[in-house]
Amino acid sequence: MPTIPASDLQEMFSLTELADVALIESVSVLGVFDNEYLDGLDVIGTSPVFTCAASDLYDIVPAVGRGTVATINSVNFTIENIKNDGTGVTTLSLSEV
Amino acid sequence: MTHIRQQIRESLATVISGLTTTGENVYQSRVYPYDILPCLSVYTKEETAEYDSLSFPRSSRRELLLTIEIRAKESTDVDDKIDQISAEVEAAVSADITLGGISKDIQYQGIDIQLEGGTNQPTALGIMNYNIIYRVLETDAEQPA
Repeated sequence: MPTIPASDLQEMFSLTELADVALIESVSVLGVFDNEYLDGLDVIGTSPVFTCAASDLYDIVPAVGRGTVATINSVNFTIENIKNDGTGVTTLSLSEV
Repeated sequence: MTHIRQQIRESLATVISGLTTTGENVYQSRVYPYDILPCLSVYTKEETAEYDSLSFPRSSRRELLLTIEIRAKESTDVDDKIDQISAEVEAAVSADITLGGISKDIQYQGIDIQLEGGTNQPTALGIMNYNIIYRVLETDAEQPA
């Protein structure tokens, strides 16, 4: 799978576009926060995910892993799963602390 | 009067109202997603019947499958929450297995627990099954016989 050029990733995850800031291990990481409606077992909820450039995440916060806390829009989340899609984009599945 | 099945469902809902963990969050036959948790909901979806007398009007022995669904959402240990609630439900239901005289017996059949991790916090559903035995005359399903 081809890697997305760094300049394109920078544009995708820019504050002037749709990006939010996630504070992970006291470091700011730019990415897109999505928290759409999802009900599981007939319980109303949401499905919080944070999508960012893999290079941003691992270069800035090398210790990031499952269980790391990410603060987005003043809400604390635990990183439950990390998905690298092979193009240079990483999606963090989150759960509210 | 109302059908004994309805009386049983409503009586059970009253019995499990006010428990320590779920409080007044008790529903009957709810068909919409839940937003106030933890909660309990009572369903009476299946029933079997057999005659146990010969002369008209015959006596009908009913076995009602009543389910109590427990829903909880917690950042940690949601399974423990289901266990805690089910203990409270079992104690409350077994306190009077006649429900004031409308049932002959209430028998706990077990629980099925499902866990879901795709939402913003781990969610759990515990489905408790009860067999409720009652008897009516075939001409009157609103009075216990």
